[in-house]
Amino acid sequence: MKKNSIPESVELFKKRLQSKRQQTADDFKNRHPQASNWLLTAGIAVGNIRSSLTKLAASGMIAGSLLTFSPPLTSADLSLTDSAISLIAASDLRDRLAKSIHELLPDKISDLSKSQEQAISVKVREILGIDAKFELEDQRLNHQYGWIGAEQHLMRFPGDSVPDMAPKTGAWGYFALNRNDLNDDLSQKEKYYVAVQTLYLPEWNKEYPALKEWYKYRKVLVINPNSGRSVVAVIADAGPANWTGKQFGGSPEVMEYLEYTSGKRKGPVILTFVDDPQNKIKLGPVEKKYD
Amino acid sequence: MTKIFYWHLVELEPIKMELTNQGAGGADVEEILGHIEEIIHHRILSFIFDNLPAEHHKEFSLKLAKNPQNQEIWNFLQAKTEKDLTVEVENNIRRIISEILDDFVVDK
Repeated sequence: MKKNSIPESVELFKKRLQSKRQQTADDFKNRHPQASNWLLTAGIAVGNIRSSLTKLAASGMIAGSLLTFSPPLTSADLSLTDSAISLIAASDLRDRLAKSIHELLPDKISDLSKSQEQAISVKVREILGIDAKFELEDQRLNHQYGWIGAEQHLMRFPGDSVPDMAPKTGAWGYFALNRNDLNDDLSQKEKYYVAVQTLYLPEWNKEYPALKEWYKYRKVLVINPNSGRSVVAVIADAGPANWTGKQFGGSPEVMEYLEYTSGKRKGPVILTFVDDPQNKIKLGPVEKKYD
Repeated sequence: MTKIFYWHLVELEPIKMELTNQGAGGADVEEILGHIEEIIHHRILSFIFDNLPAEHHKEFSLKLAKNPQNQEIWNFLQAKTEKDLTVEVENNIRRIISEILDDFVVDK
């Protein structure tokens, strides 16, 4: 039997397929709601994956040039959301950094040679646009490549109370005299802080006043060499003790961004000073290259 | 067809032949293949997300968006799932196409 010159079986088949397509899209969203969101943020709409991939291809984000496009594209089809572009750019940055740094590191965590340090600084400058220095103004930490472990929040002012907070202040005391004095800058410093082993620096006790001044809130770059995730933080505490087997500590936010929050809540990092005399580098995750 | 890293495992000729045998026109074939492509994507991506630990879902999504054709995605999946998904994806695709063909045969 014919209907509009289309065999009935074909028409029934089309209807059945339409329904099946909707059902599989719904199943996907129900089964993987978080993944559906990630795909959507990246520019791929579940329910219309074919068209999404075509748009991504046409917007020039695909390296290959062998694609053919079935439907004609409108200018609206060619736009990606800003968030998708920035997410992809950040992912790209991390991949490049991880790949570049991995090639330079020793197989096991150990001291870096001067040439390794120099090569890493060059790569960080090239990829992140940040002047990462292993030695700055004659100061050098006792470790540059080591294990970072999870620290708690630090008390920002007398009477401060937040979940997962250390019972004592950090190495420099309170960040602010009281709640009213706590500005955004100081809040960010507590949010993105690290602990380094200043206590083991050879001149620490002898030159404590000057060194304390130099190290207090000194800006550092912390890199997860496996993922390329990097975060700019300040030195706000001393430690950890040598017996822990760790060389650095990271605030909850630092550790979360580095993806060291599960299991033993520790992982390998490269830690450098940031040479930023004009204070242009912001504290927090580095997800784009600085000019 | 828009290429995606697993698309070389998809064989749609049997369905095209069935459609042609049934006298379906070019526009119908195009529409039907579009639905089938979408069904395959949903099912295969769902299978991948089932096997990939949740902490890697975001990275996989971004890699897919960045370059859907990139065969390196297989290496990423193998590293994160600690198994070779290629054969399972291929079997899944065969199963999906077989189900679709069965539907069509019932309709004849």
